[in-house]
Amino acid sequence: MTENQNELELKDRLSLIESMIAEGRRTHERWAWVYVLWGVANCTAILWTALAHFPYAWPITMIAAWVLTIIVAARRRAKRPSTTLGRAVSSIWIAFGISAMMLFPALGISGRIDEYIEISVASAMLGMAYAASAILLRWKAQFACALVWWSLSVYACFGKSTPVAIAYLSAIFLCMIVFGFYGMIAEARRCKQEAKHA
Amino acid sequence: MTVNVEELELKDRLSLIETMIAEGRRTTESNGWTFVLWGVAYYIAILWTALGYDYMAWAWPVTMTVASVLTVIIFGSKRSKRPTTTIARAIGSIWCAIGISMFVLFLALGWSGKLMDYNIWVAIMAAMLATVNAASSMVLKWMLQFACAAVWWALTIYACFSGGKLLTIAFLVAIFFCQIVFGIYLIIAEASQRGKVAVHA
Repeated sequence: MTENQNELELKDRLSLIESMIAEGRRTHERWAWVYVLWGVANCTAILWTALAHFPYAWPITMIAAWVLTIIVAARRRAKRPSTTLGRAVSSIWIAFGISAMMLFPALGISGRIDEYIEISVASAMLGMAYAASAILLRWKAQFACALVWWSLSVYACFGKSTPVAIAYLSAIFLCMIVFGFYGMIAEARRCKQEAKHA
Repeated sequence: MTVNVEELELKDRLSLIETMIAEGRRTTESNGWTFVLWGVAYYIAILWTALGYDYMAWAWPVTMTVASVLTVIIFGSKRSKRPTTTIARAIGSIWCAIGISMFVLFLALGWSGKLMDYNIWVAIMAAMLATVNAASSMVLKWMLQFACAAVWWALTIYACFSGGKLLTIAFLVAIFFCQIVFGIYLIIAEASQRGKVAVHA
């Protein structure tokens, strides 16, 4: 009897964890537009700097991306209570955002950093955020993105200027824009299915 | 009636979240020794480099490898048989991801010889430690750990604009407070928790 009860409790617990992970992924998919927005912002800043040699390209695009993120997030905020996993994933991204906002402008203003180290550090930090979120949500596609970022982090230390820039743009395209669209499509599909079942 | 049921459900949910957060903090407290271990490892590496003994270039790789091996061994022997909570899993995933990222980044930067500037190295290290402490503190709603993250962020900015001995002192002070003191505080908190449990048993 006690063994049966224990087994049932364990099954309940497992199903609760599974439903939490699924809910966490759904919350993440609702925020997929952020990946696309920041992917486009990064590409814009890189191309603007490369083509026009405008020194304020990065600060302007990053500030614009922050403002847009805050405005769209405020408008799209769901009325549903957030789950524990959703809160954990958002904590990872908020912490990453604050650190990036502290580190890169400080390094840029002090003139201490070169583009290779910048790409390497940014990739390692992005790899950290993607991997933490992927392990938490048991999401292989996101972990694959983390592997891409870590590989770029190493490559930026040893590669040459143009190939590194191309690799960086490709990583942004794959891990931010394509991954973001994939999340947005998954969310749209789920919304359609829910509407059908309602 | 329905309102009452909903209210009860909401209260249950809130109490579950609170229990999970408390359990997450207890898990962090039981791993307080890692903060102390890594704090001491940083001190050894800094001292080894500063005193300029032979094989100075090996100071960081050797101490970091030894600290990693020790962490894995002690983790293996201390692993509890209780099932982990979602929050404990979240904290574990954050530390695991930062560990891999730091290992990959510093190994690549060191090997390629690109990391010659001590200030950049301190700034990157502080930013990464700030990220992991901030993420963990937000999950656990722990102001003390967030204060540690704030110290690391402050050091990130300071490292970009200052240099020399003052930066080394600031780095040593940050390690002392945010690794060693915080780690000892966690170890004491865990011990007093155990004492309370033993008294109630």
